[in-house]
Amino acid sequence: MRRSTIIAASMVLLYLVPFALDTLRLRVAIEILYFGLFAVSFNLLFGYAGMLSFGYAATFGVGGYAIGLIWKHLGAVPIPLALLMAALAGAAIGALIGFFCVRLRGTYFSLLTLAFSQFLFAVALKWRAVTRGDDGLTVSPPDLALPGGFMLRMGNALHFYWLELTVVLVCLWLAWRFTRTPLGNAALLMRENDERAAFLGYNVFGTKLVVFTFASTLAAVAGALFASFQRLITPAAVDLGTGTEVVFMALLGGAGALLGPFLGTTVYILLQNWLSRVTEHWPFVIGLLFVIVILFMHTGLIGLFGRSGRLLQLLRARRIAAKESL
Amino acid sequence: MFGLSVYATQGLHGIVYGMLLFLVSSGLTLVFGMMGILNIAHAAFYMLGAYLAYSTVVATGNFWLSLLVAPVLVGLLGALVERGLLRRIHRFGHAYELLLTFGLFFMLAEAVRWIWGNYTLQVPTPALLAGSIPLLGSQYPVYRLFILAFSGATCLIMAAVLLHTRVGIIIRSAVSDGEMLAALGINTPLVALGVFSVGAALAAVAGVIAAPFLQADPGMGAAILTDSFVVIVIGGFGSLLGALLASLMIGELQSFGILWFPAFALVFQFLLMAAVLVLRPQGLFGEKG
Repeated sequence: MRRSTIIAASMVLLYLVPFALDTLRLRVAIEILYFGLFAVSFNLLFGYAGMLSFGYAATFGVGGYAIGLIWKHLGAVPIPLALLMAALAGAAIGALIGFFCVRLRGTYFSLLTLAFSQFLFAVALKWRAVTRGDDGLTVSPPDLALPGGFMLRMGNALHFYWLELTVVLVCLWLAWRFTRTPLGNAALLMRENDERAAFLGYNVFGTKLVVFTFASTLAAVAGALFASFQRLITPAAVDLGTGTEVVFMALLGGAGALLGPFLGTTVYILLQNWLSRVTEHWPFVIGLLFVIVILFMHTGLIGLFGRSGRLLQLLRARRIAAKESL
Repeated sequence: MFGLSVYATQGLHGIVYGMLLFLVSSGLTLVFGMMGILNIAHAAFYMLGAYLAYSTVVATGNFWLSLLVAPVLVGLLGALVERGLLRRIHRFGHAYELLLTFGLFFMLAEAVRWIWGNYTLQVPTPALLAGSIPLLGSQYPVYRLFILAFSGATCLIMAAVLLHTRVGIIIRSAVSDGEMLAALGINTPLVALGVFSVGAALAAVAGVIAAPFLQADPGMGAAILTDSFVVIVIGGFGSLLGALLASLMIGELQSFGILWFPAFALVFQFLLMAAVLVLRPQGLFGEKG
């Protein structure tokens, strides 16, 4: 009972946060929300199922382009419906890419996802008739009329934040639910030892494909939110740089907990905002921090906090086992 | 639509770039075969080579000196990375090793921008090799022919060492079965350190050689990175012969791709890589499935 009160209170607080922020900071908060969702979905793939994707920007970009094209060609589709359609587009592309990728393991998997994302990048860049190439596709989200006569204006950062927060919370809840299902547990098993999982009778291919598709769906929603807020989607959303950033954000926060990547994203974006004012060479500092986290803090920044999830305990147990076996 | 000499020149150009790519990919594929690590920082070693060549030329005016300076410095850096960083996290699995080299690449690339600036630096072609000679019906720069000869010679030396010396036998055994080799009393961590470091030095040599041809550019690491990934996937992880053939293939593919389908030159090699990974994940000459 007390726990649910805390959760409810913090949610209300999250909706009220914008009143404490100026416009600039509100924009940063909006950025944290969609990149946070992106990083959490990446971690469903890497942290839970052990699949390190180097081409994770692919479905993020697909979501962005999908929602842009929906509004361009189908008119003023209400934003929840448009997001759902973008999510479906992400699921479809995710299932297609996943069908080829999840058969492979380790580095082979990473490289094949990279190949697919580079291919999609080239499509976004060169298929000018649809994507408008380098110029980018303009995304124009229509305002949303809520029951009760209230209009959510997409041009208004505060209104956008409320909408985005709702969508992100729903997605995070879905992700959390997913990790609690037997399928979510099976995903953990895939990471630990997929050969043994196969011997135990688990459908390794099927499980991995479902996780890949689900993660891609959430990434597409994040991409669609990104495009709606930026009002523009360019091939840069699909490129290696975006695929790199999400790895940094997720691992910085910690792959061992569902919300670890969200923390990582928050730190990453705040740090980047601050560092880029101090030095133009901020990527060096971020890279250094990343290397330090990989070297010394397997559980990421979230590992600094006392309470830990099951996954975190598992990681710790493995770490101790690794030390003992030396 | 093009004259025969254009094809010949373009073909030769493809071989030149292919051989350069081989110099970079050979170290990458050997390290992967031995240690199971896809060393992303390898591309940064290559970039460092080019920039060290620039600094050496600026400081001493002697391009050839950089062929000594760059590999030694970068080889040391490679040894430091292997011994000081990679070995520490070896027990956490390949994914974390991969991520570590990823972070290192990011750091080194930014460090290069920091030290040398975020713009292209011209490295002059050494006077000995400047100019062009008539070849295959057109004028061809002598320096590119030098790249060809130099990489070819390096390739032969590497083949000789790997096939006919004791060290070569040890390295090949380490690629095929490191545990067995260790059981036979060979110090495999030392072998790994050596191969990693020599691989880094080779990447730096490639960078030095590439510098007068492609110039020292902050984006050169990322550019060669994806190309060399494609090469080692197609050739097969751990296979030098595969890397050689795949490098030449990619060189020609880019060379003629730009000529015929400028818009899709980039797509081809990734489609090829995807096709190989899907149909034959071990690559053309790889052994592991």
